Amino acid sequence: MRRVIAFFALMLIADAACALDTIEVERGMTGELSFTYDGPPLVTTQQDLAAPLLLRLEHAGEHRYTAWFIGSVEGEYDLRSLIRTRAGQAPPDLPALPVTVISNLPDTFATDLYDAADLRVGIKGGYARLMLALGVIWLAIPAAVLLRRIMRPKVVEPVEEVVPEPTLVERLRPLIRAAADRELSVPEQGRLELLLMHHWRERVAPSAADIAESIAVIRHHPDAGEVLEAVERWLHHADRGTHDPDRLIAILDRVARTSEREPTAAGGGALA
Amino acid sequence: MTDTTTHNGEAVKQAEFARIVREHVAQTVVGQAAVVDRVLIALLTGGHLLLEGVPGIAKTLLVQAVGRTISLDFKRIQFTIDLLPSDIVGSEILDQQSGTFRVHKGPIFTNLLLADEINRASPKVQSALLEAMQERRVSIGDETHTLPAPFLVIATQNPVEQAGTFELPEAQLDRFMLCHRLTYPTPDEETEVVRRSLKLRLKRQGDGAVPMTAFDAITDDDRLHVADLSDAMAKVQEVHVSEVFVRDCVELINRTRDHEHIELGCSPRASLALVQASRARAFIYGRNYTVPEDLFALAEDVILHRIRLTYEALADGRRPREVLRSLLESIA
Repeated sequence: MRRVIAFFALMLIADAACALDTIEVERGMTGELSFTYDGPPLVTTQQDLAAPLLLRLEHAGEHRYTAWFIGSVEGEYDLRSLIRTRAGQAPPDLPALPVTVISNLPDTFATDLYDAADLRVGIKGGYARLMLALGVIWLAIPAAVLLRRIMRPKVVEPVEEVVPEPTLVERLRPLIRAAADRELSVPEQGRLELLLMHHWRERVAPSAADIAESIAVIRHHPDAGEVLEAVERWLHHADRGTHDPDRLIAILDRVARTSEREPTAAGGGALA
Repeated sequence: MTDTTTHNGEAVKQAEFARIVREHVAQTVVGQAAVVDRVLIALLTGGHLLLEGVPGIAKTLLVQAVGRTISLDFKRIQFTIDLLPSDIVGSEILDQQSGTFRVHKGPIFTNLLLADEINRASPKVQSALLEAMQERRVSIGDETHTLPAPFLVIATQNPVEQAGTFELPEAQLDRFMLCHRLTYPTPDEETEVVRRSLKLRLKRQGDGAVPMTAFDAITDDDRLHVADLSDAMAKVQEVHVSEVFVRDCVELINRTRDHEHIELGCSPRASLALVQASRARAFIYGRNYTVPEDLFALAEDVILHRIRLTYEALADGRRPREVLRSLLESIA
């Protein structure tokens, strides 16, 4: 029985001790404190929004009040200092209403939300030096490249020896020589015919609209026409044996010599 | 069509065949000598011909005149969007008297078929015709019918008016041995056309009368016959083609496959067409051997419709004709 009485006595003491403790609220969080006051009706004082603690008072009926507060700077405050009667006087007999605003930030950090003293970045420190260094590098790199180009010894490119395109004669000669010695292969025969045709197109029909028209012009030319027909009969006729190859080669040789004496503007009939 | 009488009772000699056709056609059609040559080449080689040109330049008249000159059966089909394959090939129809189906042969059963504006018909109809061109026979119902010999299709298409047309794909264009592009007649030729039209009189029909047209002016005098054509075709097969010429043809066709501006080059069918057409041209010009002139003269008609330029070349404003000319210059 004694133990039970002692327990309840301890509980009452602990409860009384809690009532005396201040209410702890984190910065920026709303705290609530209820109290009774049977004096004249209470109101809050004129408050500045930048004040470290703001208070709103709610009359909850009879003599009960609820105080809502929010702190922006850590510290201990007494809400009583922010409460007045409607007449503007400090309420008599109102007990202290202690509250504590705590901060979770480290001690070295400022806790004033409105204390934005000087947000400009200082340029006297390492930042300025860093920017200066970067600027120097930014200018130095192109300057170095430019300097290197100026200082580089000029390389004299070797002049390529221009090899002139082989002329028609230079192309025809080996084929005519080969034709005199042996039977030309099919590609050689084709090349010989097309070279001759190109030769005459340049000389006889330079203004023809197309190749077929130029060949038709060549065919009617007194000299070229005869040679063209002889070559065509030699290369394309079914009975090639009846033609005199030596005579034809002599004609072709004459054509080559003529071409040598009268080169065209295109360089003597060079072919691709 | 099966008449075996030859011209003036004699065998038609080489080149004379072409001369007679040219002269006969020239009585009706002014100019267009190149087109007459192409029609003759197609006839002599059994190839088919595509003519590209604007309307009103005597395509139909020319083909009909050639057909009449050689006594060929001629039919013309105007291709339209609603044409059906059976309208060309024929169909089986129910004979109500006998209660059985009988075959109604379409206009394709002829020697010379003019397919006017082929690109106006649907692809189904185009392919029906092109299959018949390739195989020279058609199936109607359960029966397969061989087309008459000779059988030549001359198709036309208008290159300008493209709305509502179905462009022939490359694979089907390849079936045409030659594609010739017709141009307007020269002022002198056109003057002669007008002069001739002024000489046309009225044609009496009973009590009424209608003005004569150039079609009425086609005469049947001094005509050739199918047998003459067959003789000429046999002679074309005897025209010698040298190894050098074959090499030149193959070289040219091969270069279309490697050219930087050509996306789709020519198939081997183009090599065959070039050699065969050159043979016929040599025959027309009185030679019994082909020469490079034949190749250069026909290259455009054989190759141009078989190549497709790259997108980059088209974007650069290049034209197939320019690219082909550069190819020909590279070998000539």
